[in-house]
Formats: sequence, structure tokens, C-alpha cells
Amino acid sequence: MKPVDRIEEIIKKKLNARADAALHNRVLERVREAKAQYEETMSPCRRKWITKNPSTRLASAAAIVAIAVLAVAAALLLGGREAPEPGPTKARPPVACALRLATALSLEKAFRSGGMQAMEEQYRRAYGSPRGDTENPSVEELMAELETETRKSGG
Amino acid sequence: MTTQRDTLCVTLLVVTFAACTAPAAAYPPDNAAVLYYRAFMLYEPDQSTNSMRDDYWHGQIELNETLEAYLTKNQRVIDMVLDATRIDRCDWGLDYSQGTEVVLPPHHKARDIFFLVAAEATMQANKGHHKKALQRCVAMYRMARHLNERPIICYLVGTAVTAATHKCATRFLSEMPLETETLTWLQAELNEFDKRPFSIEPALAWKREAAIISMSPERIDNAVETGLDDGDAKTLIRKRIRGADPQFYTANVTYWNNFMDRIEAAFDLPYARAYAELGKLDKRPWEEFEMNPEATLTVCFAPPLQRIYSLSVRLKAQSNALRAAVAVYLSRARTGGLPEALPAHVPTDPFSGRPFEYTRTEDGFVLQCRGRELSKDEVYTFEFKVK
Repeated sequence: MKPVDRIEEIIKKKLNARADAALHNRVLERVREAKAQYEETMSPCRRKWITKNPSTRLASAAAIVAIAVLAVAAALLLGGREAPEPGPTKARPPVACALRLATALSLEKAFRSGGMQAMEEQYRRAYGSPRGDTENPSVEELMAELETETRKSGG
Repeated sequence: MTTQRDTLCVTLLVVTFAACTAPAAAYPPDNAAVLYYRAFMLYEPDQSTNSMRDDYWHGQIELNETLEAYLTKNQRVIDMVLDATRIDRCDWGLDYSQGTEVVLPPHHKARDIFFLVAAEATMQANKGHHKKALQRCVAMYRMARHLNERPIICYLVGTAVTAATHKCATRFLSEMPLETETLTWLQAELNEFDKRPFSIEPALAWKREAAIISMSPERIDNAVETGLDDGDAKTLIRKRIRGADPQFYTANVTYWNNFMDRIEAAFDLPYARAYAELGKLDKRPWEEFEMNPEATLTVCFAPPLQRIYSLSVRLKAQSNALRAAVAVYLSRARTGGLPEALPAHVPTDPFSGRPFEYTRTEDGFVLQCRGRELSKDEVYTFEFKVK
């Protein structure tokens, strides 16, 4: 079995992604698309050269696995991630909604209904607190977590 | 050999000169907004010291170790803001092509920054550095002008900062020993602002343009959703928009332009007439739009005019009173006593268009408006003490 065909297995076994079915399928679909595109753009003689040479085969497999890991990381960052511990989740306005709160017309409406105070409150809702994004893990944290899980499962 | 050494020396000189004059390394930048954005990001308001900070700049408590540590921690932010206020150009980089849907910068942070600078200015005043304290006030007036980009909201934030700065300046003047040099400097700085007055006019002009951009089939849905509360009016407006043809938009733009002409004319009227006229104009589109489809879109975009006007005149009264007070203080510094009457050519009370009523008191003087503020039914009095 070639590495690119084992992506589904890698996602399931090696990464502690805890993604729901939809997210899982989305990631898998992205990887398959990437694979198809790779095969389309790769000329037959070049592909032959890569598959014959053990070092290039290893390098290409590593590159594909790296793409898969990055795709999972991106999906987790963009697509949401389950909380590590159960607890009350904070409702956060989606970005588009927050941007709409910061438009001139929207802030004017707030001023019309509640004066300066309402305007300021809406501003704060739109822009959030200065450290409002700390609940989301950074890419480094995410990669460290993935590496830990990989080591645990002997990968 | 000598020629080679000469060439090397000349090359080094040219490189050194080029490096010294290279614009890429220039600080501060030529756009004040860059520094404001940076300060907004870096400043961390500390919830635990906020009320202490506010009590301090209002003159209600003394300086303590916690406050000093807070000010020291944020000194870089203060310096950054003071640098920004010395730059003439301030471009917040707003995408005005979005019409009324333009996303505004985080101007609410400017108020936090003001509180920080006000606390630092108070510390300077307490340490006897009165001119430095007043320099901070002048800097905050400049920041308010920088904040006053075209949208009305930016004007309102600038208004809030200016009004709060007036409070600061009034207290500093009341508590400092009167020195002719410092007061002459302050008067010159305040007069300088006349060249670039803090005004509602750019906001009104932009409002007209922005609404016209938004009165298009591509943008109007967003504007209606954003600008109106849910209700019968919104339902009717949505229905009209669904069936709108190009003529509908043209007629609505014409109605809006006429409406804005009347608003701008009203802002130039004497206070009481302007107030009454703007009150009528506030209601007019709402009264007309059910029967007149041409007024439909004006309902979405008309700002709360009477309220904005009241704020602008109240601010003008404060500003004029402060400038008149500086003239009185200067007279006191020069002659050793408070003048019998207000000095000539000082700004007037905008509610009445007449000079402030000047009264000497036991510990200073009072400037009172001669006209009544109609939205609050109040006559404003500005009290100044003399040390």
C-alpha cells in the first residue's frame, strides 16, 4: 500500500484529531484532490523516476504526509475543534457578523438607540478583547500536540 | 594606490550619507494612524486599576505605587501616542468605496488611550510639571482631530475625547501657578487649532456620499439589514426594494440629496432655530416614506441629527469657554488680578451667540452660557479656579 493511500488510516491512527464525520470527510476529500492533482500534473517518465528511486520515493511520501498533516491542522483551525474538557462554551460571533457590527451604519444605529455607551459596547463586541483569540491554539501548539500523539502511538 | 584609497573613501561617504537619509528607516512614520494602531494593539487596560486610574485623573485620589507602576509599564504606549499626535497626516486606511458599510477602525480604544494619557498628565501636574501636563492635553486635542475621519461615528469618538480633555485642562489650569510663558504658549496652541477646527462638516459631507454609494441594488440589502431594526417599516422597505427599478433608486438619491441640503443648511442656523429644524428633519422621512416611496431609502441612512447637533454645540460651548478662560488666566498672570470683564475677542457662547457671562468668585471665576441647551433644558456654567 502506498503512503498516499494510507492517509485515511494515518488520520485515524496517528493524529488525535477528534474530528467529527463531516470534518474527517472534508479533510480526506482535500487530500484525495491533492493526490489527483499531483498525478495529473506529474509526467509519466518523471513519476517512474520517482517510484524507482528509493530516496525520491521516501521524499515524495514525506511531502504528501506533510501536506496531509497541514491539511488536518488547517481544518482544525478553520473548521472548529472540540473542547478538551466538557464545560460551558462561549458563544462567539462569526467573523462576518463581527465585521458587520463594526460598520459605520451599524455603529450609527447603536448610537441612535443607546447613545455613546451603546456605541462603545458595540465596538467592544465587534473587536473583542485584546487577548480574545488566546482560546484557539497556535499552530506551534497544535503541531506539538500532534507530535506527542504520534510518539505515543509509536509513529 | 592613492587613487584606490580615495575611491574607497568616497564610496564609504556616499554609502553612509545614503544610509543616514534613507526614508525606510524613518521614525516616526509620516502617517499617525500607524502609531495609533500600534498603540491600540499594545495597550493592555488593567481592569483592576481602571477605577483607580479614573479617580486619579479626576483628581479624587493621590498618586500611589500601583498607579505609578501602571504608568511605568505603559510608558512606551504613551510615548507612541504622543509621537503620533505630532504627525500632521493621519490616514486610517478606510475603504470608502464600501459606502456606509465601511468597517471602522477600533476607535473605542482611543478612549482607553485617553484615560492612560490623562493619568500620566495628572502625574506630571502633581509633580509640578504643569507645562508638560498641558502639553498632554494639547496632544489629546490633536488625537481627537486625527480620530475625526469622515464617518459620523469617528466624529463622535473625537467629541468624547475632546470633551474629556477639556475637563483635564480645566483642572490643571485651576491648580497650577499662573505663568505668562506657559499660558501664552497654550493660547497659541489653541488658536492654532482654528486652522483645522474640529468640525462635523466633513462627517456630513461624507454621509451624503456614502449613502449614495449604498443606494444601489448591489448594496442596499446589506444596508437595510444593518441600519434598521426589525419591524413593519423594515418589512415595507424590503418589499419596495424587491420590486425596485432604476427609477426608484434615482428618485431616492434625489430625495436624499435634498434632505442633506436641508440638514447642512440647518447646521448653519443660529442654535435654537437649528435645533428646531433638525428635530423636524429627524422625523420627516419617517413621516413621509409610507406615502412617498422616494423617501424610502433616506429612512435607512438618516443619522440622529438633533442628538448629534446637541453634542456638537455642547462641545463648542466647552471649547469656547476654555479659550475664554485662558485669556482670563493670562490677564491674571500679567496683571496680578482677575480682569473686571472678559477680555476682548474671546469666543462666545454658541447657544446664544453672545459673550459668556463672566463672574468673579471667591476662588476664581465662572463663565455662564446665556442661552439654554434645549435637549437637556439646562444652562451651562463653567467654573475655573485660580491658585
